[in-house]
Formats: sequence, structure tokens, C-alpha cells
Amino acid sequence: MIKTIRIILVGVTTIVASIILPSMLKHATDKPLTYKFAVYSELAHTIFYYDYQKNNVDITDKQGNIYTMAEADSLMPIYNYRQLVQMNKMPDSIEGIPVTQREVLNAVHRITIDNDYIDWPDDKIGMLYESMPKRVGLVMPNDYFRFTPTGIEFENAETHEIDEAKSRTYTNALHKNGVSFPIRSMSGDVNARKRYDEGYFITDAKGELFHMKMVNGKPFIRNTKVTDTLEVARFTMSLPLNHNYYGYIISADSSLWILNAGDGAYSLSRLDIPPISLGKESVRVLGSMFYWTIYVTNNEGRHIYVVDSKDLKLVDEDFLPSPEVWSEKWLSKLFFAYTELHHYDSYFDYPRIKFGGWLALIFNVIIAGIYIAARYRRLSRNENIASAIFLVITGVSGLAGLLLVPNERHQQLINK
Amino acid sequence: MEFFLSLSYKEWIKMRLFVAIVLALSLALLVYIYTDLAHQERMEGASLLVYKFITGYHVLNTFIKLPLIASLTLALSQFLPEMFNKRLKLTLHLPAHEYDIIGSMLMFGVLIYAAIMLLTYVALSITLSSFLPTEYVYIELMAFLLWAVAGLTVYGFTSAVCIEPTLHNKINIALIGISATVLSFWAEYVRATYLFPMTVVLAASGLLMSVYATSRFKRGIM
Repeated sequence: MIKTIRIILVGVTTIVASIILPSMLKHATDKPLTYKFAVYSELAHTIFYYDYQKNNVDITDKQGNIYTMAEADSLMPIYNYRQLVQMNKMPDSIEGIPVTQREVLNAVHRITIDNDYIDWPDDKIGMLYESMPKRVGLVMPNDYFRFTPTGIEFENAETHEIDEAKSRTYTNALHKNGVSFPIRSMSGDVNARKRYDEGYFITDAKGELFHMKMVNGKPFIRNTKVTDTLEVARFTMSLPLNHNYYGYIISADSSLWILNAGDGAYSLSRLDIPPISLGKESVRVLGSMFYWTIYVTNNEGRHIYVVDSKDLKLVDEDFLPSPEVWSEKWLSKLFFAYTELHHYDSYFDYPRIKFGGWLALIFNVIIAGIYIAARYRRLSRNENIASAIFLVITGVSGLAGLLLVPNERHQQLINK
Repeated sequence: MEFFLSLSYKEWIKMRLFVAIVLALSLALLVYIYTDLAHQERMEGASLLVYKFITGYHVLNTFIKLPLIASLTLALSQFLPEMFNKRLKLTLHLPAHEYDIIGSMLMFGVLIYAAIMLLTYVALSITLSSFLPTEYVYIELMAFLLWAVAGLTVYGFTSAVCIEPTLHNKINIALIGISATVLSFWAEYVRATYLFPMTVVLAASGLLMSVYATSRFKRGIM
């Protein structure tokens, strides 16, 4: 009995050590994974990099030429717009196209597309704003909603009582427009400081994408019909200042699309970039008047794609390899196997065993050798063999388990 | 059963003052959570409170301390007196197996701890339900439940450190205990959903470590 208890405790301690030791090594040495910031020059037609150091900025282009700040400012007038305006150097036209302050600012949009984790938990509660308020400025509603298996439910924020009439109106409207329940997911911008409101986009049980908003207090529900062209894997709502589109769709075949906002019609445009690995890459878009830059970052590095803002055709691309992580390099030498709780592709933390590297086996054999050499007289032959095998597999973590959990035999021998 | 009850009475005499202290602390935290939420609702409005929760706000951050302090206090109140003058030796000389004796003592401690956490859980669910949509009440309560189980890790390892007869092994067990506690409180709220099994295993191994230490104590290892 007592031997079984000890074996269990050594096992648990080994697992605890295999999480704690690598994470301590990482915590003590990790540096931020920063990439040079990429901007596409409208005039030089190439990608420029801003490398922000502590006190200065190194500016280079894709070919490796070095530029001064002033040169870069005039080569990337849209990105450095505010600076140029302040210095009175902003050109009236770029590439022969006249630009005004309003156009430039309205075309700027930054968005992070929900693709970081494969299992990102969906919003369960939403707030439906009035999309056409009588006065400028949005007013936060005094209720919130949730989707039930058969409909929608509006609840008062203060009393938490269900607004039966409103819930029935919206449920009926949803059913009338062909929404099949239960709802798979919803995407909307709940931010109280957004400039305007477009309600929510919901994926129903059949995978169809619906647009739901409140106009003059009444439900507005439309089928976007995007499923005629593609299968929606993920929708990210976006509210650009120029009202040109509703958001981004990652389709089931991993391509990136935008859902255009026309006059009451919904149309799709595909961004001409290679497929995106679903739930494993972070995708950010920096859009401006002439070109959009898409940053796709994964474990290996960051892909930079530049597309033309008019036809979304790929203009230029580049790849920045991920900076070497010191701790990863050493973990593969020190641990044959270790456990990680936090994962790059999952929102949730849970233990997952990771393989370090074959090289670590040499290190483990040395540990096992030293341990057995120090202890072999005190242990039986079978115990020696078992400890040796255990240590070769588990290495430092196993050593922590064997040393920290009090050893019966060892103590009694000392007492004699 | 009678044996368990008699031992429990002995444990209760040692612990009752500290149980009262822990309950008072729990009550104070509940009052704090209530006034904090009521204050936010009064100042900012009910909609904004719900909005904050939609965008990832959490209210229980102060509550993480309760399971930690409660389990530490209970374990120390139960086993520190036993270690002065080696009083545990007397208990272990009762006509019963050492596993039954230490098992009963630990079980009583765990039951008291569970009772306090259950009371807090119920009071917390009532408090939160009057301010938040059920979805967010659920998220906060699950976080509390995880921390409550994680508190057992602290309880088990603290008891083991008290009981363990040799100093250097006390330090070793404390090291394991601190690491296990760090893992038990690794993540918070939704992110920690799948950490429940690991936390339960760690809590169980804490209690097992106490049993192991008792067996060593019984055999007079020093």
C-alpha cells in the first residue's frame, strides 16, 4: 500500500515538475516576439519595414535599401499622412489620383480577424442597438438578448425580466425569414463607441449567414445568400468608416473574403491571398485608400500580403521568419518530453504533452547514470532498473519526483 | 461511524474558532462583491454593467484569496496543534489503523472546508444573479468552483508539511505543494474550463501526501 502511494506521488510530482520547470525557464528568458512593421509604399511599389528599436527606427525596404525618416515619409504618404499634413508636405494627388483628407481617413481600417484559436468561445449574449437612431450617436439599449434553441429572448438589463412582446416579434421575424434554429454562432460589435451600427451576423443551423439588426425599433433580417458561393467557417464583423462592407469571412476552404455592403444587397469579393490555416494563424488587416496589407502570423513567422484595394488582387508579398526563441532551443535539449498548459492554437488551457527532442535523451541518460551510481546500494535490482528506465524517459522532471517525494527505504537505512 | 464522530469532535474543538474566522472572511468578501456590483450598477447603469461582462470583465478576482486563506487556516488549525509535543502520536495509538485515523481527520477537515465553500457558493450565486445574466453568473461560479477545488490542494499539502517528521522532507513537500498550488490556480474563468481534471488530481495527491506523511510519522522516521 505505502509503496503504491509513493509511486503515485512520484508520478504526480514528475508531471507537476514537467510543467513547472519548462514554464519557469520560459518565464525567465522570454522576450516579446516582435516583427518589423510592414507598410506598402504607394509610390515606390514595394514593402517597407519599420524596425522600432529602443531609441531609433531603422527603415528598410524589401530589397534591403536603407532610408531616412524624411524619405520614408514622402514614399508612404498614406501611412505617414498625419505627419505630412502637419509639415504641410502632403501631396494633393497620389499616382495621379487626387486625395482629400476625408477620403484618406475614411479608407483607413484596422481589424483583427477572429482566427487566433480554433475553439474561441462564442459570445452568448448580445446587445441590439437601434441602427437608425433619430439623433446622431448610438444609445446603449437597456436590454440584452440571447438565442434559445427555438428563438431569441430579450431581457431587461436591470430586472432581468424577459420582454415577451419584443422576444416574440423577433422570433417570428427570424422564423419568417427562414432562419433555422438553433443558431451556430453570432458576430457583432457590441462596442458602445462604434460610429454606426449594423447589428449582428448570425450563422444558423444550416450554416447560412443572416443579417439581423433593429431599424426604427423593428426587426430587420435578411439572408445574405453567401452560402450560394461558399461555406462560412468564420465571420468577423467590421465597421469601416466608409460603410463599404460588413466584415470578413473565412470560408471552409480557408480563403479570405469580404462581404460588401451594397444598396440593400450583399456581395462577396475574394482576397487574392493563399489559404489561411483555420484557427492556427492570427490574421490582421491594415487597409488604406490604395492598398491593403494583410499580416498572417503563425508559429513559423509572418506572411505579409499586399492587395490592391480596388480589385483585391495580390500586388506584393513577403515572409518574415519568426525570431528564434531562446527557451525553445534549450527546452529541446533539456527535455525529452514536457507538458504545456498554454497552447498557441487553443483559447483554453489544459495539459498537453510535448516532445522536446531526441538530443535530450543523452542528457537523461547522464542523469539516470548519476542517480543510479549514487543510490544503487540502497535499492534492489528491480528498483534500480525501474528508476533507470523512468529517468531516461522523464529526465529532470522525473529526478525532481524521485528526490522530492520522501523515500522510505533510504530513510530507514540512514537510521540504522 | 462512531469512531469518525468522536475523532471529528476532537477536530471540531481545535478548529471551531478558525472556522468562524473563515466564515467571517467569506461574509466580508460577499458584502464587498455585493456593494461593488451595486455601486457599479448605480453609477454606470445596468446596461453598461452587462456590456462590461460581454467584453470580458470579471468580478470575482478578489475571491481567489478565499479558498487559499480558508484551506491554509483550516489545515494549520487542525495539524499545527497535533505537532506540538507530538500529540498526533497519541491519536495514532488509538485502536484503529493509521489510515482510518488520518483518513477521518482529513475527511472532517475536507467536509468543513466543503461546507464553507458550499455556503459561499450559494450566497454568491444569489448575489450575482441579481445583477448579471445567467450566462455570466455561470462563468463566475464555475471559476469559483475551480478555485474551491484548488483550495483542497493547499489543504492537503499544508497538512502533509505539518505531519511530515523530518525537516528536509518538510521542505521538499512544501516545494511540491507550492508548485501544485501554482498549477491549480494557473488560469482563470473560461480559459480554465478544461483544467478541472488536473486540479482534482492535484487536490487528491495533496491528501494522499498527508496519508503518506502520517505513515512515515507512525513508523518513527526522523
